[in-house]
Amino acid sequence: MTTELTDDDVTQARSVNFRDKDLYRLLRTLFHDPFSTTAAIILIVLVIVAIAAPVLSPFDPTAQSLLRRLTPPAWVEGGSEANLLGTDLLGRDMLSRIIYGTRMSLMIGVVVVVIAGIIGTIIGMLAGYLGGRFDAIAMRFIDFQTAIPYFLLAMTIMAAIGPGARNLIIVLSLGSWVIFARLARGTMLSIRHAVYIEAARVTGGSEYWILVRHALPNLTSTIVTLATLELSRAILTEAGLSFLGLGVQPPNSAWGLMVAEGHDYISTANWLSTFPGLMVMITTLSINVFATWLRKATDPVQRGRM
Amino acid sequence: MLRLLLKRAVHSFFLITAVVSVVFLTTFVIGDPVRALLPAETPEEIVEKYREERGFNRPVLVQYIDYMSHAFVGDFGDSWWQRTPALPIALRPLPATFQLGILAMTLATSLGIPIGVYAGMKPGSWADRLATVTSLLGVSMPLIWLCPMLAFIFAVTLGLLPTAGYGSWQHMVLPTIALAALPLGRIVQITRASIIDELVKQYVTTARAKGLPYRRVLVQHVLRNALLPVITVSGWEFVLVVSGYTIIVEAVFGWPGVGWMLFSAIRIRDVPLLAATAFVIAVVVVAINFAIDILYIIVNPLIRYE
Amino acid sequence: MVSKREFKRKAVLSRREFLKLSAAGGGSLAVTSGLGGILLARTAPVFAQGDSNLVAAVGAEPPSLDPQAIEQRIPQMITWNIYEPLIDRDEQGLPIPWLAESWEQIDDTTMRLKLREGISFHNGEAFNADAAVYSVNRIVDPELASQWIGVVGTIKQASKVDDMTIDIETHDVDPILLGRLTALAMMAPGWTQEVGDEVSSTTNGTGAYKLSNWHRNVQVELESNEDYWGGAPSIKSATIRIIGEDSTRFQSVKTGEIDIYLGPLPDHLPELPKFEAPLAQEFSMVRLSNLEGSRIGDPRVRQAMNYAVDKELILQQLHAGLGTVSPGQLSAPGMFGYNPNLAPYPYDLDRAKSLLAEAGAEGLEVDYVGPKGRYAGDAILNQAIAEMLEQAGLKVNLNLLDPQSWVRFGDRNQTPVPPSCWYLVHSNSLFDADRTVSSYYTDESPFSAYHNDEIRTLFEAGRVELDVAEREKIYHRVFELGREDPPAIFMLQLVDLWALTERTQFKPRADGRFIIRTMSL
Repeated sequence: MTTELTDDDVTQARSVNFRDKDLYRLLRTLFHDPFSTTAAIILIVLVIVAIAAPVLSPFDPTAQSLLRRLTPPAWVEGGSEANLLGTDLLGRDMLSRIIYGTRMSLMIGVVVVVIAGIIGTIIGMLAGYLGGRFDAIAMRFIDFQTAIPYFLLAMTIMAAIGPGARNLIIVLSLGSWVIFARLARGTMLSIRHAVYIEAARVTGGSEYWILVRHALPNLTSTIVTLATLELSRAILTEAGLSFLGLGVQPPNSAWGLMVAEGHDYISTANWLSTFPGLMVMITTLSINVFATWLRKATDPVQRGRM
Repeated sequence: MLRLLLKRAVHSFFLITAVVSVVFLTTFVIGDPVRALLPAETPEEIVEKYREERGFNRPVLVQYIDYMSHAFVGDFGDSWWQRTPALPIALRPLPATFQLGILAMTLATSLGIPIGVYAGMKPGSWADRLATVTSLLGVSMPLIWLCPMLAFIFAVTLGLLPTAGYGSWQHMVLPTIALAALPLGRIVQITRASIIDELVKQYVTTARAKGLPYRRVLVQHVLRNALLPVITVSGWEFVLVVSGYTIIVEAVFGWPGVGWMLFSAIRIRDVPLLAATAFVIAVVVVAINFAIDILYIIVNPLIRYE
Repeated sequence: MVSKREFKRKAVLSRREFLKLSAAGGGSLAVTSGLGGILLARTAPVFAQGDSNLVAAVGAEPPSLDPQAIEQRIPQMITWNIYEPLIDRDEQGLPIPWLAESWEQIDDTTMRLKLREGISFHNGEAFNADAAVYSVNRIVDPELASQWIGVVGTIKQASKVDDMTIDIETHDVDPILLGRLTALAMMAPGWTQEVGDEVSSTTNGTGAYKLSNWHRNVQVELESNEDYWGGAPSIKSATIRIIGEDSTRFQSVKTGEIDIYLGPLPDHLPELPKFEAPLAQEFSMVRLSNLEGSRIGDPRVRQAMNYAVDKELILQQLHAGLGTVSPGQLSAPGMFGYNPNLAPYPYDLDRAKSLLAEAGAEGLEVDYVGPKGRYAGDAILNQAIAEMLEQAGLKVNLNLLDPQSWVRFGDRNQTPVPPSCWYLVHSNSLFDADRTVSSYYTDESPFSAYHNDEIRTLFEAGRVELDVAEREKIYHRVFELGREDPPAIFMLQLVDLWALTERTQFKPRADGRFIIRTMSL
């Protein structure tokens, strides 16, 4: 490979030192963009709701009240202020269920992304750095798995091993790690022969030190951006599987599950499906807007254009 | 080029094998296939006799090889539900899925590509804004929300179309729109990005500098090159439509396609039918990928001479 | 690089490009939509409407139209219009002669039936003793693996006496053989053997309707049999459409696109043009286990569970008030063996708590397995019941499973130690207590999880008792004992909910069969 210094090397070298000054500039670019700011705020609110669910929720989400079933939202005729978003088929408060659903979806999404991210990044990094046999095998496997129609298999596996949050996390992580691996490997390959790595090697740094101190920080921004995208994908997939009855099970609260429960009542009680579905939409949209901003903000080439 | 096709064929073979194998393996986890075949009251001795006769107590590996060898000639056994061969049952709903899928993809490409091209050419214009919004929405859209919403607005509130079902062109409208939403987002996104990338390439400036009319440059070169990745992405989206999105859309709108068949087979735990349907979907996926490869080779002269 | 200003200037020229592109796009859209429409028209069936065509809707494609192989509700809605049994039921549910004119019991295990003359199958084959014998022997043949075996399994074989007379032998004394024969469809031997596997997709019966077309996944079409031995029916044709979505069926009946369907959601009732809700022989219950290994072996715990569930509330809120609360037994007026002196368990949370305290079972953990998607609204219902049990102080591990897995937990052959609670709807099409008692009041059937010595003795006596009055007394006593040592939480007797349009005249039968010949528009 060439040993000439190129533009890329310089920008790479610069971005390796990701210090507070850059963070400040980063945040400033965020506030200049109203859409991204809104998205970020929504996400922060969702995280707070997820963490503080027991405190924020007006009722116990599993508390049934058959006499008050199918109450419409407060602003509709027949609604009551006690149940702001109405009640469901068993009289459970919709708002409380949605709050706990936030907790469920976010928790599953974050855990999946963390597991898949860690495993995928490590394998990808190793494949990119070590090359050779390991890389060839890993690449073949990764390519293969990305070609498989995953939702189909996820449905079958969930039906077989039994639905529920824990199995859902396993199956979703298995589907997601390859994306991280591929990205990590790709990035790794492109910086493997970068000058500063050569320099580090020449000055006697161990492989491990090179990887951690130099390669990893470089990887971070891309991985984080990917992680946010994968988070939205995980939430969407979980919602889809729960909707089909193969994900989170009753009596737990999950948005997909709630949409399914309201499915037959579209014409008579549409709030059962509308609100949980809307939550999924808002969540994934905010994540994607934020991810778009994040990618632009952390990519040194693009940053110049902002 | 022949080598490319051969590689693709081998790859496809392994893909289909993998999908069918996963389904087969889940048989052993799902439960006793013998019991699923016989009526509930059958006494234990008859069950045992049946088990031996049909070879259900042979070692797993033997059963697996036997199963796979039958599968590759299209023999998946009899559906436990209908008691007739599974593959014909799985094939029957395929035209229905293609009706929706092809229509949806046509809608997505015929709307998406023009918007993306215009947006790419005039950054900052209304088209660019529209493109950004469309692609964001398309990528974040939960089908489990979009479908009930479409049904609620157009069928329940406005009464223009039926909420679900099959049989007339009115029944096709909402599912098609729902299926087209995500591909539309992706296609707009990739077209716009692709056009932008092309327009800043050296040869465009050179051609302009040489005095070539912009129109000719655009149509003959820019578009042709920019559309290459669009073809690839459209192909991927078509695969996703047929093997993923359609499952939810068909479930919500009661459209009897392969997605709905897959979901029904999973729901009633009819393993032969499930395997046959998964096989059909895998073959469709492989066929579409193959077609995209061929199309790409035709359109991209570079590959042809490799 | 091109500057932004230059860019914009150049772009103006490309508007024509853009227009061309979108024209092409719009054109292709139009073409493909047209193509789609043509494709659809090619494959779509014709939907007939009219004064003598009935349109019904069912939720799923019938797996087979073989009337002897499959025992599911939807195929039966079609097959009982095409095929007929030897014995039918009247409005009260009592057996009446049908394809068999008369019968007599010639010894303990043999019944002789005289067949009705002058009847033939749709393909011309005569209905005679050969056909009857063939039909009976076919359904009990283990090769067929008929889902009806639980109902007709007591029959050993049939034999021909003369051209229009047959003998049916049972393994043991069988007081309800006549009831069992109402489930046995008569099929033509020549035709059935000739068509082989096609028996599931083609039909040939003696009934008032013939199958004219089966458009897979879309609809089944029937046409009237003008030569029907009971006189040509008034409704000349029927279409049974397969509409998987309940909301679609609901909307279709409102617009009149379909005339009738079974099982609208109770919540939808106020908006239906018309509905019928006759009581069915279906009893919802939560089967309770008192076998070895059960945590709720103490009868007081099971009584407490009966007190803890507010069945009236469930009836009103989840079933729109249609149905009745089961009076401490899995039986109802009109069924043989029903004990009129038993009262239902009232809702009494305090009594429930004190019984649990007495038995030292406060905070007891119980496993509750319920189905999800097997019965209408089952997931919601089971969550409600589980919640009520929790209010009484029990800790319920609720497990809502898909129908296959749920059945597995109820079958002792597959789950030797049954779960404490297992929800199901017991369907007793035989109108006789024997079926109920053998299934749930003794441990005879693999689907029961209960044992009581006294009841066992009574049950065995009732099996072979041919004196009707004596038999009735036996079952009265069984149900009386069963109320105090409950094999289940006695829930509700359910109704068959039929949604109709104004024009449809439909008087539901006691056994819930969908017989088009008795309807009119």
